[in-house]
Amino acid sequence: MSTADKLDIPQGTLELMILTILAREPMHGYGISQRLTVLSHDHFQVNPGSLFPSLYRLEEDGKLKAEWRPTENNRRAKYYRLTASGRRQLEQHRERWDRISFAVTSVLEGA
Amino acid sequence: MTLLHRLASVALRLLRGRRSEQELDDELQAFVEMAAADKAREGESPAEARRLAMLQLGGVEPTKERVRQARHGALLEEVGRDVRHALRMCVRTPGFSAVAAITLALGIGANSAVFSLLDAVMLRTLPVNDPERLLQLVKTEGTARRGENYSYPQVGVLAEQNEVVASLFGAGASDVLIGAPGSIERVHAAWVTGMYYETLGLRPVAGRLLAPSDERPGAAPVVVLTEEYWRRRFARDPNVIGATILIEGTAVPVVGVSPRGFVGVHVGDVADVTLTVTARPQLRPRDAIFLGPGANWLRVFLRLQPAVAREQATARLAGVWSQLAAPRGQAPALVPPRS
Repeated sequence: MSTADKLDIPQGTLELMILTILAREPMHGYGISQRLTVLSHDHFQVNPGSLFPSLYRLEEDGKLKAEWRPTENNRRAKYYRLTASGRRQLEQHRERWDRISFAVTSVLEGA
Repeated sequence: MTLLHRLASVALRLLRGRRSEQELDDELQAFVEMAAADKAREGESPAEARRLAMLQLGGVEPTKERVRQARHGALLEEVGRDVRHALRMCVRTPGFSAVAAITLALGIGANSAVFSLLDAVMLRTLPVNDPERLLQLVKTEGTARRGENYSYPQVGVLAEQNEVVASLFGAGASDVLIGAPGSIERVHAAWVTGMYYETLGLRPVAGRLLAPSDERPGAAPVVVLTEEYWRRRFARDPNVIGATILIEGTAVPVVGVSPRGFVGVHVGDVADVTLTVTARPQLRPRDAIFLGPGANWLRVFLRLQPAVAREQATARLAGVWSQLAAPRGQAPALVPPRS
């Protein structure tokens, strides 16, 4: 899928997706962006100009903690991991998102 | 607060600001290096890989500016206020001026860090048999890469090209829910076609791995655990093999454990459990579309027949590809897998 075919990431969902990806294991910014592309089956490609501000905001809010570590390829990268507060936010947002997506689909299919 | 405390506070804040600016530079640089390494691995020249990686970042300064704006409390403004305050104090107490001036210079100097790039390209091989003969099939348009995901029917047709292809598989990924209500765990799954383990050349550490017969329509779902998951979740209990685990509410027999160190073929994506593609709609009826022609979600990896060159195989697959309702202008290309 070419860049032009990618979907815009709906407002408010990027942080939910970041938290979900990091709930699995700590990861650096590039890994998060790659993972997001793969998991969205190529439909999303996050722009670093959106990704990094979100990461910093989540870090400032105490939802993420960051630490510099070597990567598997012996580079150094800043790995983000979820804090307890981040995990709680993920659960709340996840539940809300499930309700939104269920509600929208119901309207589309029922109308 | 005494003047000394005030000066210490200014120095600390400058250092903290400097550290986060430096850290942001380092972080963006790491992003570009990793992106460039991936592009180079996909076959771009080092210069082109770097250009594409910079393009992907979308400009260092605009990105940095957006991060600064995102920070709470406008730290820089706060620091500015403190500096102004300290300077006023210094004017009143000339003996401390020199100290304050040195602190400021350090802060400014470190803020203008040079954004440099390295040409380090490293290929980490997958822990599989003969990894240099393992190729990934990606879609290209001209010299540009246009995606790597195929539908299940497409994977089937590609796998049949036995003149050039010795073995081939498709693999996708998603989370699955494992466990009984009340103790459900979200676990990462790889969904693969039957030739997955055979193509990779892997042997089980316990039980057996998935085989083509597991992919046949009507075959009951079975699951293979990665060694890491077997250890983390089941403390390497051998009795797990042959027992069932609840996946999406369905009891699925565990048939075996894959070799230690192998966690799937997806970038940055560690699979805990591996199931066949055809098990997916059986476990999650709403996922039936994943077996249809509309869902491009499988990455394709293959090994060529011994005497077949990459160009020859590409030409053959291009012929097949044009019959697979491929978008105009696209052609398949064989590249070493990303790891």
